[in-house]
Amino acid sequence: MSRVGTAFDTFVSVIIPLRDAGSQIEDIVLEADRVVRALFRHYEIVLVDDASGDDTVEIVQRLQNRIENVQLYCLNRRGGLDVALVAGLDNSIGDFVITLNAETDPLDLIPVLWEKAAKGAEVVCGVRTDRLNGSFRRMFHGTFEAATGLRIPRGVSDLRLYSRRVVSYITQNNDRHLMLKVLPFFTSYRVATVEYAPVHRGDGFGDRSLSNGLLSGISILLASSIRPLRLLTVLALIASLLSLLFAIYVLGVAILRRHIVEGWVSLALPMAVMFFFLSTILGILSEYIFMLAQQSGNRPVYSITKESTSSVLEIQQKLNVVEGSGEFANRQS
Amino acid sequence: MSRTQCNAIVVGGGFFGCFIANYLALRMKAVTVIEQEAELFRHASWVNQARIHNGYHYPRSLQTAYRSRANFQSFVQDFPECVESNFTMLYAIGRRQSKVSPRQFERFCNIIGAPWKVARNAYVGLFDPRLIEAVYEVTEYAFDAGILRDTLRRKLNGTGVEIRLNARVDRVEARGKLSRVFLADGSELDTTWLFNCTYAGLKHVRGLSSHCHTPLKQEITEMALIKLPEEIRGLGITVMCGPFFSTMPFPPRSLHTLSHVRYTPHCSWVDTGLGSPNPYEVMAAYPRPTKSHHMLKDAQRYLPALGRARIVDSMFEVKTLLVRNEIDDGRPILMERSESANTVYSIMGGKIDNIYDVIHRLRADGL
Repeated sequence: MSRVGTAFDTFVSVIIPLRDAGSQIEDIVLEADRVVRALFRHYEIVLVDDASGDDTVEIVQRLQNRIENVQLYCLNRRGGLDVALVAGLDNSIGDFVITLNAETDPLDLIPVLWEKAAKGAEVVCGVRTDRLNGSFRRMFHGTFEAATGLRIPRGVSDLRLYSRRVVSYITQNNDRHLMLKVLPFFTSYRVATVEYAPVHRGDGFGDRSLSNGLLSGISILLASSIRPLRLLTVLALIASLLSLLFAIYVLGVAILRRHIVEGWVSLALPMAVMFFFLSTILGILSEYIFMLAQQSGNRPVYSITKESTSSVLEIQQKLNVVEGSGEFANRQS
Repeated sequence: MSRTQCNAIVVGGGFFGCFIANYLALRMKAVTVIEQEAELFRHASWVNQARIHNGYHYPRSLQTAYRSRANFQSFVQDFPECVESNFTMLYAIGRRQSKVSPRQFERFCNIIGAPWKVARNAYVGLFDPRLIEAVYEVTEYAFDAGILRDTLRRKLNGTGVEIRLNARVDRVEARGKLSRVFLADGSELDTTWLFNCTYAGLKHVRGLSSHCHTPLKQEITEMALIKLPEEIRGLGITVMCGPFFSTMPFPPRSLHTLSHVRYTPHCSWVDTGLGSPNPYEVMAAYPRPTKSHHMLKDAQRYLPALGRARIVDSMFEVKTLLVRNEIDDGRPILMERSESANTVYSIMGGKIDNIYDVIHRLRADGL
């Protein structure tokens, strides 16, 4: 890959979330370092540990004595891939920020992403070839775009590149951890895509299953658009209109006809219809209330319990080193 | 062979060494300062934030804050010509990851009696409100290390202190009640009182370092020197209290220093003394890869105007810390009077104005 001229003075952050990645983390960091070092002069590799249960953090801190510009943030509790990505975005310092899921996204795509950014794209996203097809995915994607009015590349993954402007936009959203998938497409930033076949490197976060994807898709759909709320209004209108008509009909029958079974029609039918609407309305309302409750709670999405940075010096190996790395949990500026 | 008789020898020609020598020269004759470099103030006395602390920096160590306040007054009185006060000092409180909240900071300032007020809107507007919770205008100054050095040199000349530059102590030996100092050039000096003010070199002078038992940690640090854009050039800014940054005027070069809790320390080690590498030699051999871009990129997230700042240079220096005091951020001085030879002192301070605590102790010791 040729070196792009503007890389010289650009600062790039590469965000890699980790969970229980002890067995792969060394390979991941070494490869990321190799790829990024060849491309950029100023960079940081931001590792976000999603409360791993294994020795991921210890291994990273050892690596920080060997590899420069590795920044580690440890989350206090498991939040999942998107929360880890958000924590990385919030704390990254680059002019451009690259995010990826090291379990499925090949690291050597970073130069390809950068090439697109160098040509002017502000959002570059990876598109997984294995997610391009499938009638169900296609149907869901179509429904999603119709319901929200957003244009989102099909098969889009967590492999992304954002300009600082996009990162600033994303970090302004309180629900960015729920919406990370689609937030960059809310505005008119220039989007480019890169198609790739995923690899399999670990199962810490696990690949998104179809049912998981469907659930998160529904919540994103509801979060990204108020159109379903309009539907609710329409349904409610229709329901009230129907019940009004029905009331007139019942009144009419009562006035014009004489021999009907006492009250049976007028009781049973509206009951059934009303209950149908009522449950629909309640179903949609509950979704929104769920979301509101999620967002209105003041609990932060994540908090960082520890951070450490690379501290590479030969003497560290010879001397009695204080800490495995430049840890400064207890320091101040 | 020449052998000089002294009453007191101070090893190390930094601010502490010079100030102590001057203090001693008012009380005894024949005081000598020995400095290994070609000029005084070559290391930590020159390469630092140039901040005259007024307590604000230590919300987690009241004792340090109190002393800092008192010493601030003394320093500003004693060295008015070295004080740069022609700028507005802002303390900003980080919204996330900060170990101190705005309310805590205000209460803390009230307790130690340090003046503060909520910054005017023009200053608050400089910061990103998503990352900064509160901004305060405070009273804190910087010092000009160049003028301070000249002042000290003049004082030492006035009190008749001999300054030996380019002089390295090879070893020190006890001679009865006296100490004999052997210099690398072969000359010898006998002295009654002996002060080790070599900062990072405290544990690396043969025969002298055995008197210093306090565990020390050495840290290689980098401070960027930046040219601030016009609209914020009249400011000094510190973001508290976590992995944040600080930018202060650096009068000797008419620039600002930029230091960052995350990127300023490059590496650190516990100093095990003679036999382990001399910190100054480690520093000299350090390849000095700069982190100034990291510092500036992070800092401009908090203060967007820094995006128009220009990196001019970087200063690297060894910083010496007391191992036991990393937790609460207190910066008490190291002042160790040898048990075996009570005329030998090891002295080190983390801040320039700590000198008054040292003098206080010396006076208490009858010196």
